Amino acid sequence: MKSAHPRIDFRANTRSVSPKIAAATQKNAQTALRKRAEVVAAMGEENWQNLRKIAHDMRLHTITHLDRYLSLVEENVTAAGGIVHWARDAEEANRIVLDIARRHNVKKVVKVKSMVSEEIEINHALKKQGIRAFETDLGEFIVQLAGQRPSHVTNPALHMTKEDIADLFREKLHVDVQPDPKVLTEIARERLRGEFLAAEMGISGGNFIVAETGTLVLVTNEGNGRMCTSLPPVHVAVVGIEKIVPDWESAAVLLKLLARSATGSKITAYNTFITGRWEGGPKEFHLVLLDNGRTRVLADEIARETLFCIRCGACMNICPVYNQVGGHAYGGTYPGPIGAILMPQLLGTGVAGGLPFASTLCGACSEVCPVMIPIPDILLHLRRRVLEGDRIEAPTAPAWMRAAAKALRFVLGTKMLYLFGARLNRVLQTPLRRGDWIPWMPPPLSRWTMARPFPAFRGDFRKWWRHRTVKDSSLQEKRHER
Amino acid sequence: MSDNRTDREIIFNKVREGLVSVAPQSFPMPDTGKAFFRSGGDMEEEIGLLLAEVAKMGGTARRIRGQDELVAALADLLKKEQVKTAAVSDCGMLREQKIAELLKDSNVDLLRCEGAGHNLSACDLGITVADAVLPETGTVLLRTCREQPQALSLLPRICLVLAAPSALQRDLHNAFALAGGDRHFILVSGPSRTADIEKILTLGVHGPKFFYLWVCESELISLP
Repeated sequence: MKSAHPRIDFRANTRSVSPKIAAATQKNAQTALRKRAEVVAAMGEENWQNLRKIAHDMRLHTITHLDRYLSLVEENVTAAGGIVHWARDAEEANRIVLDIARRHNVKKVVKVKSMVSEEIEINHALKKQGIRAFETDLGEFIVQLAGQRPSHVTNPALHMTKEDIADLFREKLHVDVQPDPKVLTEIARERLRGEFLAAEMGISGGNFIVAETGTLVLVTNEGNGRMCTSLPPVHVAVVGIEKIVPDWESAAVLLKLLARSATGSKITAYNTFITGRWEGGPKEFHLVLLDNGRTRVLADEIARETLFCIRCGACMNICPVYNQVGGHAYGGTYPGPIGAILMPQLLGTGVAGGLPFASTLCGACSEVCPVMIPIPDILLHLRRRVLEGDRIEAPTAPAWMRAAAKALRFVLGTKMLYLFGARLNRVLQTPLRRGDWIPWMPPPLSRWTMARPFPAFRGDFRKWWRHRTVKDSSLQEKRHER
Repeated sequence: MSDNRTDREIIFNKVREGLVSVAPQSFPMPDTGKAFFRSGGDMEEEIGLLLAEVAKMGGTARRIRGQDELVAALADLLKKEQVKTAAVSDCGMLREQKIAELLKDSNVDLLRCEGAGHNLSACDLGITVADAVLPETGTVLLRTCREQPQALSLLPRICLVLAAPSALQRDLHNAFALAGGDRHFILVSGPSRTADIEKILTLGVHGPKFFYLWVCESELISLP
């Protein structure tokens, strides 16, 4: 699989992460998880789990009947006066948007926060054609000014402190401002109000599309989503083909899960529902349905559930790895655990094959996921793809790594060799061991000991286990005797 | 060999190829009705919950009992928020209550929404009528129509929504049953907000800075 995206080197990226980013990321995560726990408790754990199960089964049904629902969306949007476009990849999606912009002599575009538009890098494409694109979500506005990528799917500027943002506003907007969120927000409001009124085109993504009516659903808080989709004379929505829900009841289920999982609130300030052209709305409504690798994900029975994602960001908030390194270390549009399974499938393991290894496999992401995506299972599946290849892709790991993995599998699967290796470890550690710890190891193992000491190999596990079992069973017998 | 198929055909082919191992009857649609477990209380409880939830969302909500209370509440609001200009929905409830006349009597300039509503950008107050209200989340449902353009609840600095008790709905499920077939509608829960800077909640971003909900209980006030 070929991709123009540069190879993502997660390990190298983590080396440039400042401690400030980890602190900011953890602060965000703690707040988000606390608020989420409160709203889940208010709903009741049983109801919450019931809702997750329904959402999972509904997403499974939708994704496995996607052709039927895509046809329905196309039919209903067209009947409501909208224009449906199909884009195989990012290049095609950008070409469609640029064609529309050219036809309407667009010079200025206002944008709603959309991960798909980050994925296709629409801002670069617009800039090349001399069209100015304004990100209007506050977080996106900040990262656009800073020339950065979002570091979280729902909180794009979480890696920046209010002091960083005040400095940025001073430098880029030439305003003397104190690091007060209220004042910073007011500046963004004043700056962007004029752009909303002057823009000739609004670009949005879509949280969902309700197939039974062809309705685009947008979940926002700031009001920018409503402005971008109503004030300019042309509205273009670029949406991944997996964002479809069959009907309104399904939409209600996902909306209940999305706000609670993403922001820890029962509902966001605004939910907007747009079906084609509407009274008082833009003169044209275009819906661009994007594949860009999603059909490849669909074809993989194990990884297919990646497409269930509703982009709430809860997996990021709970992930111990993400909380140490922040979103930029993942090197692409989608960070965190969902990024670690989605990016290698969209871009190919040749580009993003390192990301499935950026996980402790603790499983917290799967437990918090509102649509129950089995992220650890998919991570393991993709690790296997990187090392051994499968029907989707040939192996992309270097030959030495593949050989080492094969050798390790052979050793671990052969009892005699395993026992010999375990004994050898205990001998080899002798010159390095200091008490119960190994404080230093030679390269490449030194990467571990640079951060923390390695626990020494103590005793024989099998002996310890036998001993423990005897003790446990003797305890059991004593209990019975009583 | 060149591929003359359209992108649409290519995507549909890929989707169907990807699902070739999935039998049509596999993975049936679950009973999503089971997700609507909120039974709701009586009218009094529901209104109480609604007022509390609107306050939690950063809005201000109150009950209005009769025409006199409505006139007084409006006068208070105009004074408190220093309202100079307003735009009013042309829906039945507001027409019958002569809200426009009350505003004119208070020397407030009335604006009419033109086109997409750009002219309301500097307007102080937008007054609309709720088509449905969800007490659980402190949410109002506003259906967009010629009489009630969506700009009314978006561009002015203050958003005031009037609701009749009969607009109360138990759950999102009921609200969608009402408006799901519309070309455009919105759910509004409090003023616009953000927590994009250090997770600190700030009210009033691009949309209204203030949100008021008045539940008008008088029998004089008819449904929208």
